[in-house]
This record gives sequence, structure tokens and C-alpha cells, in this order.
Amino acid sequence: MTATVGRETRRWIGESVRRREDLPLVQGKGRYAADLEVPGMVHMAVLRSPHGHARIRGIDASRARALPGVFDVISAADLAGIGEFPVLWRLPGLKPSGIPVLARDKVRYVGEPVAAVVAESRYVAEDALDLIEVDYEPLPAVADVEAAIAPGAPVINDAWGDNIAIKHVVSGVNAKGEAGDVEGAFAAAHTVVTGRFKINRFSGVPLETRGLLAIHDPLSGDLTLWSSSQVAHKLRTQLSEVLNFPEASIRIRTPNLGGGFGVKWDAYPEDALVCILAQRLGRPVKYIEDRREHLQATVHAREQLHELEMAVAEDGTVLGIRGRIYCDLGAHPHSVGIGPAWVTGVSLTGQYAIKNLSCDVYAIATNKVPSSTFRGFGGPEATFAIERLMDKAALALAMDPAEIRRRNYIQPDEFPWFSAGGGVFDSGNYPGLLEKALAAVGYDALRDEQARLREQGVHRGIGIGAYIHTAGFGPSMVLGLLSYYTSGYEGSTIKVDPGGNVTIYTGMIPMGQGTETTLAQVAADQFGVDIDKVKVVWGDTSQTPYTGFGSAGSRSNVAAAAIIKAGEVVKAKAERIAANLLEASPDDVVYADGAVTVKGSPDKRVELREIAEQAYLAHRLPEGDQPTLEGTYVYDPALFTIASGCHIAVVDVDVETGELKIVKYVVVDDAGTIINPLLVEGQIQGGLAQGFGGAQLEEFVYDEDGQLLTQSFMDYLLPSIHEMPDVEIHHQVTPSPHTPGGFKGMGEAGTFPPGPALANAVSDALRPLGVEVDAMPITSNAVWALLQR
Amino acid sequence: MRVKGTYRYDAAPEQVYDLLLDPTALQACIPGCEQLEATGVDQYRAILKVGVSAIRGTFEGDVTISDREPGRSYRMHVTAKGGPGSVSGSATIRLTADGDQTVVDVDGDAKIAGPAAGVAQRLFGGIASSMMNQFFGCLRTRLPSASTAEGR
Repeated sequence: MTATVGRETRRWIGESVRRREDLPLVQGKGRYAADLEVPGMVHMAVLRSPHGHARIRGIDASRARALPGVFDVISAADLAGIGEFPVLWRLPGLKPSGIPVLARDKVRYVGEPVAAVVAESRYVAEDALDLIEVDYEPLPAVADVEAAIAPGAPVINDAWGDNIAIKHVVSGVNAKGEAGDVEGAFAAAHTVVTGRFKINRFSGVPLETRGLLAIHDPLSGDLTLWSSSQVAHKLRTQLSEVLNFPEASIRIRTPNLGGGFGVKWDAYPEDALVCILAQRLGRPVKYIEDRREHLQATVHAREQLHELEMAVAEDGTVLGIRGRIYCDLGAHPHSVGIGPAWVTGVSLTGQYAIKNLSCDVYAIATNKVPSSTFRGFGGPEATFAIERLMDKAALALAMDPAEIRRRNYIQPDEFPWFSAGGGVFDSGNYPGLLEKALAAVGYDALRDEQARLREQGVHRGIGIGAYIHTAGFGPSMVLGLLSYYTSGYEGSTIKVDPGGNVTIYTGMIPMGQGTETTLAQVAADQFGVDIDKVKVVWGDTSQTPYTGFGSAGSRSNVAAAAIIKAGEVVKAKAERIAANLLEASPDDVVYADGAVTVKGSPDKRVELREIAEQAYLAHRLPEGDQPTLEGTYVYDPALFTIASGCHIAVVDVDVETGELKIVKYVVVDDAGTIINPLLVEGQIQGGLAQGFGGAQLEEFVYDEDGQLLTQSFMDYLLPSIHEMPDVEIHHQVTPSPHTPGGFKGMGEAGTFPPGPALANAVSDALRPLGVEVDAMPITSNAVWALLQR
Repeated sequence: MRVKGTYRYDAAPEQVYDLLLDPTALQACIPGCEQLEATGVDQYRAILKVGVSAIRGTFEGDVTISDREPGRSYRMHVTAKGGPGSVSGSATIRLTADGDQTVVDVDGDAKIAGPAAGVAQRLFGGIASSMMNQFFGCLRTRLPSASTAEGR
């Protein structure tokens, strides 16, 4: 089945093209940050706070400096003229803070950088860390939101006066300015259901930790930073400000990334530290974060406490939602401020046509590492809340959970939908997702079987998890309205060389999702050439177009759209050059299948290769056209794209042990037009792994003094292949009407539903025993404890 | 982390009390104690080599005795730092006569910070119990009437 990209026949888009990146990677020829070696390179180690909250009374690094093999030791006192990394998403009312490069007067979380050592080897550097004497005055710590807002709680950020970073009100006014009537909704309710939900603290935990190599060239004055960052240009801009160093002299290069998952999007103190030390020493400085450091000091995510109520009419129509969300922010806002909590607040209505919404979002500081970017970015938390509330409402009305959802969906003909959270949903078919999922899982038969099994003492449950995913972040103007000081465009420069080969320059950073292949597919179809004639250049800010967002927010669709638009610029020029060669009018020719032909005379044809040759020779160019054949387009999305999906989990619960067994798990995913089905499935599976991990296994645990108790994989449990259930994946395609190509982002999709689907399934299984699962992780311990009540 | 224990001795409370605060006995009986030197009245500086399997290290610390009620109770405060991390804690030690014997009750709290807190916290309860049992058991052998009564 073919479809067109513009006027092109799709040969590559929609194909499961195998990844071009993979052969060297699986042969061990990948070049990750840890593999980078340059002559004269030295190694950095970071001294980190062992306390959750303490004043720094003094630092004595004399013994460390005296250790043979040590070149330099710095603390905050050595950082004159160095700034703090900014919080980029500065919602009005967010108390001021930055991300310090080294702690100055106090430490606010275990793992916070206090000093840095550079030595001839990492071994020597770590020995030097042990010789740095820091005089700490431990302070009382707060390790959960309730303790942090209790009267008399110790204040973490002295300038704030308390630990509330912000109270943000989601007022329920939609993008057209229409306000809801939450009071009226609750007054008219037949039933009100409540939910107190606890989402656990977990994070991306990529296979590769963070890595950096800073090289300062004394001759040119240029600073090159190899960084395992997901967004090179924005990091470059931030570094320029923090270091007070001209941005034009900073070049950020990206090696292969062993996963990012959002945590490598933020800026970190070490990014500046290696640059500062490289300049001080005149030698390249390398830093590879070890796993314990990663679990302590790379941003965490997700931890929220919800207190919500939902008003429902007798027929199951949801009238309104209101309540409070408490986000455990960690010691201070990080690069994205309270972004994820904001997304949670505005996404609470899910796939449903709920017009009345009111939510107070509190972000609370605690003595933990900051909570920030992680795949899903607040969406999974909202999905847990709304999907659990839907099941609670179904229970209260003795209605089937699938039926109550049917009665509340935004219908396919109601798009664009202006949500109560202020979003504009471009397209979707939510009832379609549900019906597909129900059919795939055999819902009616399952319900019959559930009743029979119950009589035999087997507790089987079925749980639905449906979600909307704000992908394709996002129109820059909207980011501005939200006070998010970055941008959502993607630029694409396309150069066709004299041999007719196509090179795409992209600001996206592949982090394992196959970006190079995906974008090559789009370009190959755009130009009607074989995919082997397409080269993708990434990972070098001196060559690639500026991106404020890079690889985050499920934005391959934005990059793809930029390629399509830039391709149109190049093809229009190719048509003009070819028309000139064919002695025809530009209106009478058309670019298709890798060549330009005169309409109606297919024998009058010039191949792209010939056009390119002529463009570079410039012997016979049309008037008004310049030599060479290249084009640039910077695509700023008009709207976000709203991807969606519906998952159904079937579980058996052992009431003796609380153990879950996932009997069946069905996924229906809608990401608009699919570029590469194989890679989409990979993204879904990977997202599911993180979804299941957070739903059942993963948790960062701090004790009441802010000590991180889970600093290794002995205690922070990641799912292995043995813990992953077999899943059945189905697709639905509702293209994005406003995105060239119709693609929606989908990279984060898998992370949204496993938590709520499992919580709903376990609650359904244990319904006769009155158990409601309202917290994650859903461990056997937790289920067993609920059963004892 | 709570630190609790109860130990019995075949001796009068005053005898046991003096033994518990005798620096020679302490140096001999504190597990892994390499050095114990008085730095003032009821103040000591200690160097200990302790640990369990891979979590081992040398700790340097300060010990302070306070709230002395001879023959009845005292409080002990410890702050120690070493490779695996730092420990700080306080305990109240109470002695009660029970016939010919003395019952010693230890009740305290310890906070652990640093690498050990993040990877070995499951082991702490066991390490603390083991060290206390070793210490109080060793002290028993130094009583003039080295008895066979068992501590709990």
C-alpha cells in the first residue's frame, strides 16, 4: 500500500528498515564517552555530600592537593565569575533558584557536588577525594512532602522562607478562554469518588551513565565538549552563560549515547566543571559518572501525591475533577522547573470529554536530588490518577469499566478538542482504541472466565489504562506563553552533493532509538532516492542546525517535518534547474521518483544526479538561482501532536503472597503516521519496560534524614527480560492533520499505562476483598499488606 | 537506626559500672579497636577497623561519656568517620541489680551517612548487634568473677 509524501511515492516511510547504526555498535565499535581518549587527558572525580542537609563550615583540600598525581582541586571558593545553570521553565510564582556548579554554604541532598579533583587517573582522583576535609554541620532534614510542609519544618532554601517552590493553579480554562464550572459539577453530582494516589520516585537509569570530555585549545581559544547530552545546542547556550565564555567558541560534540530517557536532557554541574578545569589546567579533562553517583545525583522523577475527587452523574458521565497534586521536587527545581507536575495537572482529564477541572499543583522541596525530566514527563502520573478514578467511578455505579469509558470519550468527530487543562488535541479515535483492545484481549470471554475462576478461588483481574500523550513538543510561541525559556523548532539543512547524494543535517541526538535510520527514511522518500544515498549528520554543534529541544518530548516527528519542508525547498530549486536544462517552464515540470520530468512527456527527464552536477558547475543556471544545491528549513510546530493509546492488563493475584502474574497484556498504540514499524515497536517495548519497572520494581528510597538507601542495583531493582511480560501490540493510525507527513511523536508512549492498568487489574482481581491499589510500586509486599487490612 | 541490647553479669552494679567505663577494658573489648586515647575527662579518641565482608574500613572517632550516675547509668556519644562513611549516635546505658546479678540495658540511636548508607543498610542491624554482643561478651571475661551467665 503506498501513500505519498507530498508528491512522492512512499517507498521507505512505513517500512521496517533495519537500523544502519547497529552493525558497528553490536560489533563493539561504538564510541561512547568512556571510549574517548585524547593525548594529555586527565581525569576528574567529584566530592559529593554525604548528608541530606548540612551547612558547610569550611573545606580544606591541602592534603588532597599534595597527593602525587593530583593536578587541581576546586571548591565553590574557586568559582569566581561562574554562574549557576538556570531553571529554564520559570512558571510565574516559582521561587527563584538555579543549579549551582558546586555547593557553597550548604548541601541540600546526598550526592550534591561539593568539590572536584583532577588527577592523572581516576584512581588517584578518588584517593584525593578521601583527603578533602569538609567541616559539615548536619542540619535536620525533610524527606517527604508532608514533613516539608509541616509547621516548623527546616527550610532547605534559606531565601524561600518555606519549602513550597510554587503553588500553581490549574484553573480549567480552555484554550478558547472558556471556563468550566467545577462547583456546579460537584453540586449536581450523583456520586463523588475520591482518590489518594502515591506515585513512586524512579527515573530513567540508562545503561550508560553521564560522560564528558572537555578540551580547551589554547591556540584558537575554542572549547570543545564531548557530552552525552540529549540536547547539544541548548547546553552550549547555557554553558556560555554559566562560564561567561563566548558561545561561538564552544563546540559540543556527541558520542554514541547508551540511552538518555530524559535524564540526559538537563544541564548538570559536571558539564561546567570539566570545562572550568580544562581551562585552568590547559589539558583535556574527562569525567565518567559511576553508577552510585548516577543513582544519587542524576535527576530522579515522578514522585507525586494526589488528593483528587471526581464528580459523576448517574449515567456515568464524568462532570468534573478537582483536587491537589503535591510534587516532591527534591532540593530545588532543576532544568525543567516543575514541568512534569504542570503536565500532570493539565492532563488529568485524559481521553475524556471532561469540561470542569480545577487543580492546585504544589511543588515541595525536600532533601533529595532534584526531580526533573524523565520519559513521560508528568503524563504517566496523570494517567494513573484519571484511570484509577474512572475505575472507582465504575465501581461506585456498578458499571463495567469499559462501559464508563465509552460514555466519556472525546469522540472522533469532536477534534480539534479544547481540553479543560488548556491543551488543543489535534486528532484521535479513543473509542476505536478501546474496542480494538477489548477485542484483542477477548474481554467478554475474560469476564465470564473471571467469574468462574473466582468460584475456584483464583483471583483474576482485568485493568484498562488509556492515555493521551502530548508529543511533538512544541510550538515555540506556546512555550513562551508557558514561561518555558527554550524553543520547540527543529531545523533541517539538506545538501545534495555533485554526485546526487543527499546529506541531512539534524539537531536531533540519537540515544538508541534509531533516529539516524528514521530520518534517512523520510529523506529517501522525500527525494525518491535509495536510502543508501542518504547520509545523516548529527552530534556536532558546529555543523548541525540549532535546536532548543533536541531529543526529548517525542519529537522525531518535528525533525521529520523539518526534513520534508527543507526537501521542498531543494526540490523546487531542482525543478527550476531541470526546467532550464529541458528548456521548459518551471510550471511544466515535476520532481518525482528522484528525477524531474516534463508533465506529460516522461521521456523528457533529468535525474537528480545530473541536476546536482549542473548546480555545482553553474554553467547553465536559471536566472535568479545561486550555484550549489542545498536548502534549510526551520520548522516550528503549529500545535502539539496528541498521540494516544489503550492498554489492557490481565493479572492473577496470589492472596497468600500478594504476588502478581501478568497473564495477558495488550497494547493499542496510535502515533499517527508510522515511519518505521520495527523501531516503533522497539520504542513501545522499551517504554513498557520502564513503565513496568516503575509500576512494580523501581523506587528510590530515602530515610528521614535524606540518606539515599538505594544506591546500587541491589536495592534499586530494574526489570530484566525475566520480569517483562509478553505483550501484544496493535496499531491504530489517526494522522496529525497539521504536521507535514502526519507523524505524531510516540517515544514516550509505553511508559504511561502499565502502572494504572496493573493497579486497575489488581483492584479488579481483589474487588470481593475490598482492596484498592492506589500506590506504586505494586510489589507483592504492598499487595499483601493491603490484603491484611 | 535503633540500637538495643540487654546483657547480664554475675557481679554487682558498681563493679560492672566501673568495668564499662575502664579505658583498658574498652580498648581490649571494642571490636576492631586499634587505639583508644583519653583526650579529656570522659573524652576519648578511638581508631577502629570494622566492617562486614566488602564493607570494611578504618574509622576515626570521638567518644564522650556524660550524665554519669555511678552504678546506675550513663550516656555515651560517638561520632566516627571512615572510608565507608560516617556514624554518629548516642546511647543510654542502665544498670539494674537483679539478685546477685546486674542487668545492663543499652538503648540508643545511630545515624549512618556516606557510601555504607546507600549499599549496606540492610546489614547494619546485624553488624550493630554483632559488635555489641562481642563487646559486652568480652567485658564479661574481664570480671573478677568471670561467670558463665549468658547475655541476651
